[in-house]
Amino acid sequence: MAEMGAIALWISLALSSYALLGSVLGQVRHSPPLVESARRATFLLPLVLLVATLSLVGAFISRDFSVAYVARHSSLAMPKIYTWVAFYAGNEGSLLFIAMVLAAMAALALWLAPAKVRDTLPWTTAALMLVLTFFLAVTAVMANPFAQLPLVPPDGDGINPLLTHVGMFFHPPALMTGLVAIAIPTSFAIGSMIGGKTRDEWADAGRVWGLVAWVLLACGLLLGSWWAYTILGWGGFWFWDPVENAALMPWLALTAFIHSIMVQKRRSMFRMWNIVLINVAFGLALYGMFMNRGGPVPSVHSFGASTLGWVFLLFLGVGVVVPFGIFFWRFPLLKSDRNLDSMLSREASFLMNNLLLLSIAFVTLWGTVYPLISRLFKGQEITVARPYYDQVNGPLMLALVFLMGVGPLLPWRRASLRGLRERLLLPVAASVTVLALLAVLGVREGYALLGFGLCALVAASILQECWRPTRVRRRATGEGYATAFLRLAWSNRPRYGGYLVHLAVVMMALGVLGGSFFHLQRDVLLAPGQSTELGNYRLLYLSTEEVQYSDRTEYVSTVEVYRNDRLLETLHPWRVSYPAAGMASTRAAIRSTPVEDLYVVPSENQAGGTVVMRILINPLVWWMWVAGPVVVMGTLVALWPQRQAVPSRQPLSVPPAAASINPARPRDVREAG
Amino acid sequence: MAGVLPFRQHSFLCRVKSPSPPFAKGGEGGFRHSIAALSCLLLLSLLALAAVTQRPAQAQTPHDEAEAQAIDRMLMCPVCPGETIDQSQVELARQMRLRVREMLAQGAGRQQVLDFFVARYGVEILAAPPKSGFNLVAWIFPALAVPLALAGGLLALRAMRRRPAAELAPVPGPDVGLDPFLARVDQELTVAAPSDVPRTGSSADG
Repeated sequence: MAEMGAIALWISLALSSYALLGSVLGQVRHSPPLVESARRATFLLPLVLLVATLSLVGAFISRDFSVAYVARHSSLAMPKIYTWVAFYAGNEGSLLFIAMVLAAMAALALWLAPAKVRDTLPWTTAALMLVLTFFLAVTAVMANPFAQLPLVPPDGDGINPLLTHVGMFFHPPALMTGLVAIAIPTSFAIGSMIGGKTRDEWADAGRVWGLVAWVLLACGLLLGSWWAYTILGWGGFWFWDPVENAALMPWLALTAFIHSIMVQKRRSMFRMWNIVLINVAFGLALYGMFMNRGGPVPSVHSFGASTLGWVFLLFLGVGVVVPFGIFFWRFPLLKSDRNLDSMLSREASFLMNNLLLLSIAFVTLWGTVYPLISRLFKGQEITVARPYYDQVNGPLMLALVFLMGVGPLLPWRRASLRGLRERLLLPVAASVTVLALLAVLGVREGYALLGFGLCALVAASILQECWRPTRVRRRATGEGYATAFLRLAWSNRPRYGGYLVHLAVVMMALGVLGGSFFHLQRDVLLAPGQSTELGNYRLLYLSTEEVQYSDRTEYVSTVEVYRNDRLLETLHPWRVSYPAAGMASTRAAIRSTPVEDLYVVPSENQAGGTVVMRILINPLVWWMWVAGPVVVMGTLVALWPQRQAVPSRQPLSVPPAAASINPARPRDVREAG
Repeated sequence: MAGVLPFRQHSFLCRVKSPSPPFAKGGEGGFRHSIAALSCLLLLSLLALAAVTQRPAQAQTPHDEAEAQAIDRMLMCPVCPGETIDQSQVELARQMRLRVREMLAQGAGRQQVLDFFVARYGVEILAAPPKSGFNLVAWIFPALAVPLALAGGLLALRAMRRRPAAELAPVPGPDVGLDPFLARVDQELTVAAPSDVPRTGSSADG
């Protein structure tokens, strides 16, 4: 089994090197057969890597402890279902996983590439294969998951207990896939630059794959937060940990990119800016991988001490210098064809949103590297953690939410002040109402007030943008409200998908505001039969049951939750200790409602069934997790292929009558946003 | 005994005592009432004491728990990577949390508590760099860079507006067929009342 995997790994390294050299040489020497041969090699790669992947999975399932990686990350006691998690629990397996998904996505991207980019596709292939070859080379040479042990141990070390959680089935793969997926839009950009096709040929493919990477990262980040919330046992979900930041920063840059690329698609502007954005996102993704594997800052999530640090640092350098080098080389070709019509336009608001997003990303980057700067220049150890990021990023995020409310109200090209006033009236009124209401209810936190007010602004502006066109359409066509709205939304999927995502962002903002400003927390020591109170709840601790397993002891507590002396729910938070690994992990019991979460977690079990409980009330956090599926739905709507209009068939002159009734039709087909 | 009582019990007792009106009047009834009140008080104190002794190790002394939790979130746990003492469940973190509460109970302010831990463990115990000395760099960079970036963006936008129209190449490709439409739509949008004009599709087939 393992031998087959090792062989497949080496074959794939040979194939990807061949595809890389073949596309470059074929393009330089004008040899179409060579280019075609290289292209086919890229289609073969996912299959070969699948063999490697399956043989590692096979080694896990058959408990083949002669494979060092299997012995280190699994044991006889590990349930087989966690094979999937154990597969990427360490450096070696996760690198193989990344290589496999990159190969699969690269093949798909090249296969589906639109005709517009066909001329420059060999360069795109070369860029993709360069990245893939790097990963395969590191996997095969430095971190081979198929390396054998000289002596076969009777049992393995077992999986890290913190990883035995449902979230772990999706969170790491989503993040790793999302991070490496950024290579695809970047490669399209690089391909079109090298090939000299620097108009907007790559914008479609760039947007689609940018969105794919974006939604994967979004899911990964949300799942990671959910995992932290339920298992780390301190009651929060985001801590601005260096590794969390490492995934957040490229996501922020990608968020900027998927907005800005719309401007290029629609208006042929921001050509240089989009290349810069995608290069920055790629650089930040590489930085994230570097931090994750032997980065210099301690974190709760990293793969642990690893010798791969310098290789990834080197690749980070190459991954930043080469794309930007090509960018400066092609700089003269990248001029936009259009002027900006007005400072008060969708284009301008997109640029501001981009700058805000990049600011958050760079301030976060600054926070993660500042400890190194301090160590270097002052020889002083410094920690930069949550209080710092909350203070510096909080205002920026509020500004971003504000733009999210106002930006979509601005039309492309030029907004009239009168029209903007008209459109802003309702959202601003909603925002002020919410603000006043909260102030009357006794909310005194300035940040929170502002935050909720802005959330209302965004929600109201989205609802208005759904409602007004629906009413017009209903009047024009006589359809029902639902039909009119659905047809309208379907005719402009990028825009309405985007609105759905914006709504999800508002939900997340609610969760963040509620959790950060209004949570109640209490740590309390409870003997069986004792009760404690927090907020409106009374918690009666009944008992703790000890369950012994071969590798662990589970302490399952039973807590009854009362409100106004009425039993609401019986909760079972638990704690598990792994004596062999010297580790413990907790699983919070959460009574989750849209209003607030009641969060109970045992942080220590003492003799006689006495337990230290941490109890929290986290208002509105429920919305955070509901936002996840909404993000995915919105992105799917936005990604759903639009029928492309055939340009030549469109009339050059528009009859006045047709323009007033039907102007949006040809615009819609292409328009998005 | 009063010194042992947590702050909340104090205020509770005060509230019970104050609304008994007969005290002011005095007289024969007054004595009976005050006996009753005193015994009531005694009973309540005993109950409160019982509550205190039952209450677990933590809140032995009066302190502001919310403030204590705020301070917990500003101190890193020295032995666990990337976790504050609020998050960490190791013994050292628990002792540090207890120390924070003790100091608060003895009347120390937030800064004094933080200084105490800095003196013992060094500046890296703080979850955010202090806003003084060299570490101001950490704070000044965002404060300067972000406004600069936004200002730069505005300048770039202005430059994009001002560029002479003669330099512009005619727009290639599919947009040639689209532009007249866009112009017409925008024209109508600015002329007509915005609420009545669909900005997106209103055609029958969707």
